[in-house]
Amino acid sequence: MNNPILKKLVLCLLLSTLYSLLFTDAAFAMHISEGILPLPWAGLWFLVALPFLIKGIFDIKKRAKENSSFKPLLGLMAAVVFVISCMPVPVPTAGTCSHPAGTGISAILVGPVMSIFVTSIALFIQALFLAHGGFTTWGADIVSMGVGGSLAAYFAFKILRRLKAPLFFSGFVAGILADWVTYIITSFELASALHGSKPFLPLFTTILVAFIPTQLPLGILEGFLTAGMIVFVSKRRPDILSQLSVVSFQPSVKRKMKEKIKILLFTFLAVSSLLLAGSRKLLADSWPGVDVSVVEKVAEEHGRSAWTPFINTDQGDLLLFVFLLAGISGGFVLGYCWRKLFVEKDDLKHDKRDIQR
Amino acid sequence: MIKEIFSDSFAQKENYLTNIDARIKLIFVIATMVLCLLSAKSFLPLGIAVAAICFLGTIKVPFRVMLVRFSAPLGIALTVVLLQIFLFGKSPIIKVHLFGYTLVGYMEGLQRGLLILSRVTATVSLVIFLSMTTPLNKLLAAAGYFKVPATWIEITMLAYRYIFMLFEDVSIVRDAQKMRLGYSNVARSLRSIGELAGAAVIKAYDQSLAVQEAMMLRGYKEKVIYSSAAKFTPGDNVAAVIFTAFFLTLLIINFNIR
Repeated sequence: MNNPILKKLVLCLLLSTLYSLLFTDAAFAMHISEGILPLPWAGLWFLVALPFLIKGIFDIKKRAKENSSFKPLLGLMAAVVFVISCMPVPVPTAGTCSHPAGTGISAILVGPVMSIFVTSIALFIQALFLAHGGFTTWGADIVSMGVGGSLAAYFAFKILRRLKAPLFFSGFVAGILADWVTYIITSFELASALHGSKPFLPLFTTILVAFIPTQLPLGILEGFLTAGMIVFVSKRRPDILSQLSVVSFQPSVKRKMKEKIKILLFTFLAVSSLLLAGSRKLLADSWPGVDVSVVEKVAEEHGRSAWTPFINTDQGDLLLFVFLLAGISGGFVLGYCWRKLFVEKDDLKHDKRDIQR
Repeated sequence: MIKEIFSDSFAQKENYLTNIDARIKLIFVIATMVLCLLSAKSFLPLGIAVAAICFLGTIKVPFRVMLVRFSAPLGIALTVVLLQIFLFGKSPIIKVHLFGYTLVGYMEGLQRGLLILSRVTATVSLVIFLSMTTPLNKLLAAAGYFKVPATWIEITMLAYRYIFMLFEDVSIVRDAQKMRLGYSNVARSLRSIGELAGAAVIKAYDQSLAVQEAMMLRGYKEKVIYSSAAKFTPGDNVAAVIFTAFFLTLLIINFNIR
């Protein structure tokens, strides 16, 4: 150490870096900052990202013709990725807040190509208004966060679901991979652009190791975030996941069996009651009851034949009149007690639900 | 604060910079960014950064807002500077003893690092200049003029429109979760943040259906009509001449200092 001014300069840099990494509100390490990549590398990464964007545009045009709400959905999904990537998540090991990528969620919901497209929009708005990422590093950020993160998350989720893994676990792994793959590619991009005449591997390893204190726990947190999201949506609004073809809610074997048993039972009851009703009518004449075949017969043998009843309900509309009276009095009682039976009961249910909440 | 930083509220104000056509500013900013990345010395990008900040100062953009926007990229840039110092070069300038290891910093690495730092400062200040003086709708209309695909522009407009709404909804849910001790320990925080993301997705899905319905009612036919680029005014022509002169001067300086 010869020059004291230079020494002070380097120490100032060291302290300011530590300050910015440890004490600022959020460690915005997700994207490569504006101006860091040299022009050829910036151009190269943009060219790598371009085919995915073109494919995305073609797919959107096609899908928008089939489903007119697809474009608004993508716009809103870009807003979701933006908002999620602005959520501060505490990283205990680094003592800072960082933020998730959000691409895992979009890849699961709208597929990898659409997720790349959506990420490009979120990155553009972040670069413009938050100086988070940049125009010159837009291509590199799309490749790391969009292409790498989305593809890793999507395939992890799909493979795990095919292997019948639970929804939470599939989402968790997808979230972790979306984050970690993003960082591995970011490290690769930085190292390949900045290694100069030195070998590539040591710089790549150094950057990767530098990311570990924040990104290792952050990846796990992103896993929980993605898993929590997918489970929450599947519980509250399974129709969304069905509509987006994320999960097909086919009934399980047990549920199918239960439903089959229910249907069989219902059919058996219906058929048997129909048969009973029919047979009763058919057999009514040939099989008289005990009263007629035994009691009446014995009574007649002893000279005591049956009298006509004092109130003969088989005559005229008397039976109908009695039914009418019963219906009127029943209706009156039901109307009188309606409030007690139904309205107050519902109020009680609502109160109970509110208390539970 | 977030709205002040994030929205284009400064760009909506009337002043001599916001009145310049977005196409001229877009070309100037992109060309100057390319020049910054090509420059071999630090002082040219630093000069561009100072000029951009001074221009923004004349339209009374608060310095703290600029500083907040600078903080994130500068944090990353400073890390890169440190990596450059300790990994590149032959002439040692500093030795740091850390946990039994001796790290040697080099002069060449420091120069390279400072060049990257100056490039970051310049390009970020140019982006801040563009976003503080051009509303997004005009910027996207200018992008459309330069043949950026209409689908991309349309979805970007939709995304920008609904970001603020989603921000509000998410913050309401987050406040409710906090009130119910949703972040009182690690396990609850993890659960709450997953539910928060889920709530955002559900809200976005429902809103997209409502937007589609509203757009259909307003005669939407698979293409949003955004304000087409207007004719250049005499003021725009003057601005174009000044920007070109400024850029050519920078270009000459850049080639002379190589």
